[in-house]
This record gives sequence, structure tokens and C-alpha cells, in this order.
Amino acid sequence: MASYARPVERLITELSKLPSIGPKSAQRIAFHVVRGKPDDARALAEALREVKERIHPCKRCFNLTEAEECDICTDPRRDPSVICAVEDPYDIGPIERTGEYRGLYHVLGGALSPLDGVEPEDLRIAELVERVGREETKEIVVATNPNTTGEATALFIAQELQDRPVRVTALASGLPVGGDLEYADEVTLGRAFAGRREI
Amino acid sequence: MAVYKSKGIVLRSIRFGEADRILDLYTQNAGLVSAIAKGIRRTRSRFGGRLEPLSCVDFLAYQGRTLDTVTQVEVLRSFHGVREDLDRFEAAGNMVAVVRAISGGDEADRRVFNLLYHALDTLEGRTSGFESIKAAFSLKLSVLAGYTPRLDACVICDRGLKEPLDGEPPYFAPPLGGALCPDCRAASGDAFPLPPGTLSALQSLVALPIREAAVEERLEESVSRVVSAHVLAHAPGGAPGRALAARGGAGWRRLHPA
Repeated sequence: MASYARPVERLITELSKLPSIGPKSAQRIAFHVVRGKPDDARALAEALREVKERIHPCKRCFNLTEAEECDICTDPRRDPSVICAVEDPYDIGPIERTGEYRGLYHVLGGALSPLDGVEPEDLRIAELVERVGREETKEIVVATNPNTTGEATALFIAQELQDRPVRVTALASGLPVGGDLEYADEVTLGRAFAGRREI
Repeated sequence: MAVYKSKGIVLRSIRFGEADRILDLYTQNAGLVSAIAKGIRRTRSRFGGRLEPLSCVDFLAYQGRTLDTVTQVEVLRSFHGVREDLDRFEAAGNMVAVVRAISGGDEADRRVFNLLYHALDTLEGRTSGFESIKAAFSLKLSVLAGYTPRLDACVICDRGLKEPLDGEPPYFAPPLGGALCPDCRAASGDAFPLPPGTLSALQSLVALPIREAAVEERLEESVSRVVSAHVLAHAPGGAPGRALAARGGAGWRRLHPA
């Protein structure tokens, strides 16, 4: 027999399907909604409906957008000769917040992983190579995650573009600002030494 | 809560929660272990790059009900030379898939750990011949798991199959776990013929240390076919491992060939 009324059980079940939400958290959120104002619940439902109905990938860079092309692709102040390739749409936010980058983006949709069966055909690498030919791109900045799968993806992209007149660069790796050298791992510290700079 | 220390090779690392990762490690003392590394995806994580896939590490963890939790890690070998080369990395991915397909249980087998370590070491040290290392690894792992393929005689009639053979070629029957002489080939509908030299090449891969694994280029395809078919026919592991192992020697193709 169900512990709660059927609609509450249903809400708990649906919330449990979300990432990082276990049964306890789902129950807590469900009861927060039950106890909250009806307008707040309606606003949440409307936001969920709207995001599913109106958001889709930009046809040029695959970032999420309401229009055919995203705000970054249509911004005339951006430099169209540089494309930054990222794994997921949520990687764009941190790069934008640096204020250091004024080019365009390309969302790959993940990273290559032979350990998990993710192959080049599963990502939007072919679309990136086509874009390079079509848009007279001068530089591709590969900003995949600094881990094994991200670096394999960067290597594959560089290999795909080796015959094109385009510069392929990757983000530097090294020590995080504010950290202690004592706690740095061997790989990161090794990279920091390899990429040391004049001061 | 039991705390333990072990050497392990990271087979897989998947994102979990806000900033964690769930790791599959093949350990020296406890076989395949799943453990969580909390906060590892944060840039200031104390784990840093120490728990990247294929790293051989010395780690401290405490046991949990479903997942163990890693608390300290020291890198013994990072095998970054394997990770930083697409062909080597793809070959290592196939070896990891075979481990998951064949040795997926939690029973400890130091020989599996040592074999994987030496295979990665060989892969990092070589500049070519990655197919041979993959094939030798899969065959040796099959032997350790109790699925030794019979390659010296027909699995049905015991007729010796020492090459060079006169007349028709021998066959390989994956479900029967070995070679068939031409007279017994009807014993398995899945049997396929072996080009001359394939059986000897397979026997050498089983017998020689992995660092000496070498297959002539003309035999690489037939050897890979036998090895993938044998692993698939005997892999008790789950569907994902089997699917990955089935990819056999297929490397990443260029999407836009030059």
C-alpha cells in the first residue's frame, strides 16, 4: 500500500528520476511543493513545460537557444574567426564569465571514451570540421575537460583538422589559483612545469 | 567501517552527483571494486589528476554498503603515454572492455592485475603493433579466467593441428572454445576457416610474455577475429562489456580522411 496519496507518490517518483536526487531528497522536495504556495508550484510547472517546448540546439553551434541561432552566434561583436569547442552547453557559462573570450562556440555533445563506447560518430565533430570549411575559421580552441576523455577528444579534433589551414589550440593546464603546491598531483604539476612562463 | 589499502588500476570513471565520480578499479587484493571519489571534479580537489582512467594507484578507501569511498591516493604509474596517443588509448579501451566482460566479478586475482599492468606498460613502450598486444592480452585473460582456447588439436577428434597443414585450412569454433580440423568443421555452425599461420600466431601469443607479443601484419585481421569471437562466446560479463569487447580491433576511423 502506498504511504502517501497517489499524486504525491507520483511527484516523488518523477523527482527521483532527476540526477543527484535520491528518494529522500525527492520526498523532501515533493512535500516542499505540497506545503508551498499554489503560484510557486504553477510557476515551476510552467518553467518545466516552457523549457521543453521552446529550447532546442542552435543550428550553428548546438548551444541551447529559443531561436534558430543562439545569442552568441548572432552577436555581431563576436569574432567569427575563432571557435571554442566545448563538451556541453553548460561549459559555455564559465568561459563567458572570464570575459577573456570573444569568439564563437561549438558544443560537441560529450567526449570520446573508448572505455564507455563513445565514438567520434556520437559527437558533433563532423559538424565542427564542416563549419571550419564553411566559415573561414582561423583558430579552434579546444576547451574539453582536462581529463582522459576530454584530452582524447582534443587529440582527435587536432587529427581531423591537421590538413586544414586552421590553428588548433587547447586550454593551458596547471595549478589552480589559490591552491597549495604541496597538494598538487604529479600530472598537474608536471604540466605546470611544461607550460611555465616568463615573469 | 573497514578501511583498506590496495593497489588498483582505474578502469572507468563516471560523473556522479555535483562534483563526484564513481570509479571502477581492478585491484590487486579485491578484484573489481567500485568506489566513489568525492569532490574529485572540483579544480581544488585533493585527488587532482591522480584517479584518471588507466592510472595505477595505491589507494586508501573505506567500505560502504554499496560503494567504497576513496580517501587517499598515490600514483604509481599514470600511463599518460597511453592516454595521450589515440591508437594506444583505443587499444587500452578494448583491453579494459575485455577485463569487464571476462573478469567482472569481485574475486581477487593478482594475475589479472599483473597482466593488465604489463599490457599497459608494453602499450606505452611500443610505437607499433598495438593489435598484437590487444590480442595477446585477451587470450591470456581468457586463460586466467578458465577459458583457454584449444589451439594445438581439434576440439572434437583430438587430431593434431600443427602448422603447416596439408590440404584444407583448420577452422575456429568460438562456442566450442577451440580449433576444428576440416573433417569436424560441421560440429559448429559458427566455425570459420583460419588463413595459414593463424593458429601458430595464436599459440605464440598465448605462450610468450606479453612484451614479446608480435603478429605479422597479414595475420592481424584473422587473429583479431578469433580473439574477439572467443571472448564474446565466453564472456560472462554484462551486456555493456560484451558490446565493447565485440568491437574487437576496430579503431577510430577518421571522419574526414585526408
